[in-house]
Amino acid sequence: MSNFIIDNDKILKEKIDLLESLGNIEIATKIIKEAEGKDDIIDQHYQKLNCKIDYIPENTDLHQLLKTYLDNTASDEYSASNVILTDAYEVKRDGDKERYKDVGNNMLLWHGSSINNFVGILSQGNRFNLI
Amino acid sequence: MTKSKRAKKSSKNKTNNTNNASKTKNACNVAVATKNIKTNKSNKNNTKASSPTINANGQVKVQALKRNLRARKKAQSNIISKTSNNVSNNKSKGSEKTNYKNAARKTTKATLTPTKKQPTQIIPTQLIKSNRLRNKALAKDTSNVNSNNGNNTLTKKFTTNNSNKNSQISTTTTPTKSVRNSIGKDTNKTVRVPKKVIPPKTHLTRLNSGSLPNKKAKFGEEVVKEAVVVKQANRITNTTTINKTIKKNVSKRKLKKRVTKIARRIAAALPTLPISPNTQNKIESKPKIVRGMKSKKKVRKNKAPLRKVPMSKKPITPPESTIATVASTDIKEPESNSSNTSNSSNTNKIVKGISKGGALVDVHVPNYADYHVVLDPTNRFNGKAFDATLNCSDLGQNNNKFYIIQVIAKDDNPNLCYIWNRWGRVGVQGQNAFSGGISKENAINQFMQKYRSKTASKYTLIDIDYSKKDDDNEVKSEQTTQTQKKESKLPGKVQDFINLIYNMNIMKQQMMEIGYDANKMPLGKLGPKTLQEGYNVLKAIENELRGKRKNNTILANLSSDFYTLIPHNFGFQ
Repeated sequence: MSNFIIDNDKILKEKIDLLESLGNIEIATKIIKEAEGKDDIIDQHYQKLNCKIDYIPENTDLHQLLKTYLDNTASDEYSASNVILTDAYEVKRDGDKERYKDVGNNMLLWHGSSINNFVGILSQGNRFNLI
Repeated sequence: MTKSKRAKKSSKNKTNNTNNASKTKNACNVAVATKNIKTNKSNKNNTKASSPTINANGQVKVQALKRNLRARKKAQSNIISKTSNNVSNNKSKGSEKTNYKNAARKTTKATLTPTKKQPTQIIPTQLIKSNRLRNKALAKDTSNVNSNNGNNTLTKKFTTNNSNKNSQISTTTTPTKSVRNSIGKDTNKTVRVPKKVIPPKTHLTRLNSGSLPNKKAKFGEEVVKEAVVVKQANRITNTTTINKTIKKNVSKRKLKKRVTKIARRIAAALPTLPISPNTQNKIESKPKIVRGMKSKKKVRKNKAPLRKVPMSKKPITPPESTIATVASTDIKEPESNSSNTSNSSNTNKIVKGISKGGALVDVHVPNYADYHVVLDPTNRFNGKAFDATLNCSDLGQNNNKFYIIQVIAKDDNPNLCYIWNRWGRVGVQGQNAFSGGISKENAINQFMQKYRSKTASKYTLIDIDYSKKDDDNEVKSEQTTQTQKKESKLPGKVQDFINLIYNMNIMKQQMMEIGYDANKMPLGKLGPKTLQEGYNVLKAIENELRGKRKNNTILANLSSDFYTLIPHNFGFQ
């Protein structure tokens, strides 16, 4: 049992991720319950995200740009040979446009997350845990 | 692959350079050959056709090109002529390669040609991996990741192979990086093109048997066969139309292979699934796959994007099939005390049980569907119901136990109450005690007494969120039927995405992988209060870790607190 002691950053990070996932899964289950029994479940699920999601086809410049970006900037831990762009989607969250203020100094933020978190992130925004 | 890595590998490989030179040459030709496929067949044997497209860069470049071509022709014929005497052939090629390299070094523009090819050589590895990645989703879902050892090693071999190539080019031509960057769009295209040309699955399946040199020979052979007719290199023409036609052909082939492969994987994964018998799984999962695919096809017909067919079809099949298998395993769990036939009726009654009470009667209560949990309107306990799930983890003591106390009553006789206790190590059913036939008041007193004594020793109450109506089995069956129900107007790819992120089985699987006990504490039920407490404990742990000196006993205690709050299945250790 002693190997389960949370005594380093790696395990700590795992447990934080675990809690984050639990929270997000809860959001997902809630939506799933609400959509239960309806016959357009996919659409229900989609609407609950409050996002406009578009697929970026592989032959577009944007997809290629993302791919190049990913390949060129991948760190050692997630080297280009480990991280592969399979599908790319464009997401417009409702209200984000109004909230966003362009002050001229734009940077791209890359944030990786487990599948568990996507419903939560898309529907609630990307909340960073405050630990 | 990052540049720094490439550089590192180059230094490693320098010692083997002569050896690698030949290998590289070989592989180089493969890349060229694949390119040849995409050149129009009308171009075949036409040396001039290639140069005007590149052009605009004077004699030196043309010279370099010619050498280039000569080298390639030879190499191609060598590969075709056969692979058994590979080694001897390669030696001669190696020398030519150096010539070619020297020519390349003379002008930066000349290096442009070889460097542009460089990314194409990386592709096979990436492709193979990307496929593995996609398939991984499937593998993960079925909790079976180890089915692919053969491919693993193969990919590694390709990687080393590629790295050799890379290293050589980068050592001989230093301007590579800058040139490559400056090409911009062109590079992108060249990167992309071969992706469609080389069907990675073919290589995987073909190469799986045999030793490395043989594999390489086959690899070269297969691609060159298609390219022999074309012979002439045409490097920069990136006519997308041609790409598409090739893509179509290849993707059909890919698709077939993928489907068969997925089927094989599922078959391989089934025996390792923990609970339910294989046969049952297979029977259950098969029709579901078929139905799912049908419905998807319909959707696609509406939109009719030709290109999407192979792309979107593939990711759909694995999740569905796996859902089917996982779901069937899950259904078995709660009925450990009853027979198979009664199971379905039981699940229905659970829902009823929830609606009639504020909590769920423990499924291990005999005939639990006949009972309900006694409510707590006067707020003697928590204001909801007399139902307590307690948890206690102590890493030092090797404790990881739960204790469930419930006051329950039969639906047809609500005044006669029973006390249900169940306890054991997290992850097992444990032992139980069932006493009762007493008055409500008496039962509640006993409950409170037990609860106090348990929480006085280390047990902690876990906040379970019963606010949603919940039945896990229902969610799962919902998931499996989901895609059959109605066609959505969303594009197929977006639907795939939605299905992916809402797939409870993937979530459950992932949570189990990190040790969370999703069976005991179904997902989505931990209340926000518990989560917040969990965060607080982790925060305390972090403070301890950041402190000057780590105190292991404090850490162990805090960790125990955490595992008490958030149940983990450690197994028996």
